[in-house]
Amino acid sequence: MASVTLENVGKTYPNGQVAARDMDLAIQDGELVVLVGPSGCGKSTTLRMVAGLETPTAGRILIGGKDVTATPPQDRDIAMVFQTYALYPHKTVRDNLAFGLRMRRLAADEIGRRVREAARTLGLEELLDRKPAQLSGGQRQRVALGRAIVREPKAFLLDEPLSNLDAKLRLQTRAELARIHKQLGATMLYVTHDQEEAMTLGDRVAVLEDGRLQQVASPAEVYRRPANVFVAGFIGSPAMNLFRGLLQTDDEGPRFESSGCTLTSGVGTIPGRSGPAILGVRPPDIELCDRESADLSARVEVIELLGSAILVHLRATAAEEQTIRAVGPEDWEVAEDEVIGVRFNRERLHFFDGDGGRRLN
Amino acid sequence: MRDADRTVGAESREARLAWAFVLPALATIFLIALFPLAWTVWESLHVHDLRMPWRGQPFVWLANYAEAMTDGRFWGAMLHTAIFTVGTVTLELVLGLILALALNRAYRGRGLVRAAVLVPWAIPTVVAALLWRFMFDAQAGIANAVLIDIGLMERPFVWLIHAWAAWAPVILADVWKMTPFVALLLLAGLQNIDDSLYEAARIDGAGPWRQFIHVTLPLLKPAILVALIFRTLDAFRVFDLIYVLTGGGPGTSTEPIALYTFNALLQNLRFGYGSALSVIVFVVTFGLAMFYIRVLDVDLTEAGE
Amino acid sequence: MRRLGRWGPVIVVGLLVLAIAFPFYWAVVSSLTPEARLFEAPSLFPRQLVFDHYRALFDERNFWIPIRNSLIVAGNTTAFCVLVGSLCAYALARLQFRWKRPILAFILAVTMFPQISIVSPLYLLLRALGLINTYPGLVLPYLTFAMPLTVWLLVSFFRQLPAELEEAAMADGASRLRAFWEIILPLSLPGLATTAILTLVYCWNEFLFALSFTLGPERQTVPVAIALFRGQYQVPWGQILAAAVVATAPVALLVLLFQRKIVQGLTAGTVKG
Repeated sequence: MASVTLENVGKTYPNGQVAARDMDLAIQDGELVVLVGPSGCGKSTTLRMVAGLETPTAGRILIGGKDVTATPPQDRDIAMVFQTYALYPHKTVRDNLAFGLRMRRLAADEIGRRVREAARTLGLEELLDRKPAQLSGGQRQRVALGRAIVREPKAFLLDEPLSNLDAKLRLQTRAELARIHKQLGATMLYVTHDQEEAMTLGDRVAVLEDGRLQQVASPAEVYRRPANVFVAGFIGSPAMNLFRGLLQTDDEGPRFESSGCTLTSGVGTIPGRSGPAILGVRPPDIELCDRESADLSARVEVIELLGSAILVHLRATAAEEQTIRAVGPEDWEVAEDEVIGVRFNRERLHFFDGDGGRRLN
Repeated sequence: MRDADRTVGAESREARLAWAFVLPALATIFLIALFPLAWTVWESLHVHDLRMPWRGQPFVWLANYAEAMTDGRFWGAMLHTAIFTVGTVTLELVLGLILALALNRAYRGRGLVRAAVLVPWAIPTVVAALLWRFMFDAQAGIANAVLIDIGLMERPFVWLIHAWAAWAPVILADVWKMTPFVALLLLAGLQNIDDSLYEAARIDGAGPWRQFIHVTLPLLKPAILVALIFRTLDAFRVFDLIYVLTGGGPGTSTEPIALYTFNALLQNLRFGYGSALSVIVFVVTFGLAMFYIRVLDVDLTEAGE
Repeated sequence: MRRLGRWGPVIVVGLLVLAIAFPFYWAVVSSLTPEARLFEAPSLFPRQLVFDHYRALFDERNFWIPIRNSLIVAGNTTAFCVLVGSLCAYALARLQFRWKRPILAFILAVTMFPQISIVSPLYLLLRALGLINTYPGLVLPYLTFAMPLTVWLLVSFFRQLPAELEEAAMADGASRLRAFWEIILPLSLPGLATTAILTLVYCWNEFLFALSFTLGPERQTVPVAIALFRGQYQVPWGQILAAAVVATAPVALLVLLFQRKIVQGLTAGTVKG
């Protein structure tokens, strides 16, 4: 296993489309970093550049400290798991697993040993002589994973490996992936568009948007202290509430005003500066309260039962265009069409610059 | 700067491999198709008569082209080619569309039918020409026998000695051979049309005719254009069929331009003049292709991507 | 009306298939009819079937020779085209390099070349090389249409294979060449076979070049031999039709056996889908 480092990596296609800009990312030996972002943000291109399937137009890529920017994929000693699995349809599972080892000219008995071991780890022993067409979706996925594991590569690259599985199997395989990662101590770069997958799997999460890294941090950090408005809105479900407004500081201390609500109390949690700003509040950080002490009064539009909690869609009474999502316990006392007062948890306010969207507090 | 060099290195490695793969085939095509074409052009600017080697090969500028412009047989051949092209392509597209629509609807036995319609396309044109010549033979032909049987004719008619009648077996033979091919192209186009579009049209209240006009035809347009291009260019080059069926006769009244060119080259051995005719055929074909691609906006290289 | 809607297509297809099939039926029946009967009033159902014409075809006319010539020329052309063309097609379908689209457009343009436009220089060239009336003297001209055809068909076959397969092979440590050899080629065998069959059929049917570049029966291909059949007093229709049946049978058989693949190949290259 080895570290993987991207230094100022950029990719501009001949048609002018930019897939990656000035990207710096250092993946430690044995670390699992998840690249997450909406579709078209450049995450797959980034992974493919690490694999050597695409060539960066700027910067360097290092694997194990060695510059591989110009090294073809077959000489990088990485393993890749594709979204479509890309199993060789004319080879048996055994030959699929052995192919990469054969390419590296390992001795036959060593190949046999490693294939058996990988098959045991993934429960594929019974399937070794089948062709991919005779396997279920989940089995194919495991073979694709096995093909990477037998190689004992410097790094694993996984491109949306779970997205072709149904919801139940996806959860199982996600847990299995986490186990394998721990067991092998493998360096992994994992691409997904699913923020929940990113949060549960990653040692660190790298959020990507428009070819640019927005934030690279632990899942907890990304959730608690999103670096900008994009990350705030993308990570977390249901998505964070955002209020556009103005920050002002006068004799009474800092103040945030928007058409929907005004926040005055809470010195220390509101940044002491002036200018356009965006306030972010996560749905679970909204509490019910009486109308007098409320930050905001709103009409309840729809209540959705999530199981152990409820999701309440609100519309601010002072500003018709402002909708708010709040998550509360099942026994929250709200009813549709009722006007209620809500309060934001002062410990968990997020403020962002009104222009660039950068985090302020 | 150093980085840029390296990345160029990785891309050029792939490009080098690509060129190594492409070159043998490309070189072959250049050597045996493009180079001869240039030679034809060069040849067309000379007098070159193999029967009169003592005349040498004097360079005569465009004299051969000038001769063609005043050559009645050349203009006749162009006219015959045009008649054949318009006649066959129209019939083949109309019949092909009907056959394709019917094949698309008739589910049972479609595989078998598809195979059956492929066979005429796959057999040698020479054989097709002979079959139809035989069927239109004055004595042994079944065409005359049937026409006499149903009372349309009193005595056997000699088709191939009448300038206009000779077109009947020629056009029938080509329509018979190529309609199935057109139908298959159009059928593939039809099968690409999503069924839910018809369902949507039906829910919107469109009857079969309106579905055809508003859903089928517009979505089939690319396939129709491709068939049109292939058939036109093919028909314009017609040689085998007429060589075998009528020999261009009676006289030269069914002689297409490819046959006249062939005769000028290999019967009269007038290589200069024949080459000029060859160049004209090429220019017209090229012009037709360009016309289709530019005016009708068909991108053939996108196909299959 | 509803009944017409259901049976209309079946009837149309039935009639057209009948129209398509009839000339074949008629050729087979006539080729088995004694020469004398041929010129009497033709009847749909034969009363007497004889193999005279087929016997004469092979015993007197040595029809084996054109068949052998056709097989040699078509076989060699096809082998060369598939070998060289598959590499070219792979590069055009998969590798990234400048000039890719112009090359593809060029190759497509050459498939539409009028053959007659290059007969004169090819004749002069083959004569200068002493190749008139030889096998290479046919294989070389045949490459002009067979090579672009093969490349064009194979490009569309290769494009149908998912690119991830070779990417996976390369991530597994295989070079481009190795990935082509171990993954792409085995998977495209059906496509290669279809391409080979189509190329064979085109070569088997070719007429203009074979007519222009052969001089006598010893190198004539099947279509030329049939077209130039002459009788002593009248057209030897019986033998011509027997020869037509012999020339058609292998092609028809191939087409019937591989019809699904052939239709795919023909339409994939021409219709988006």
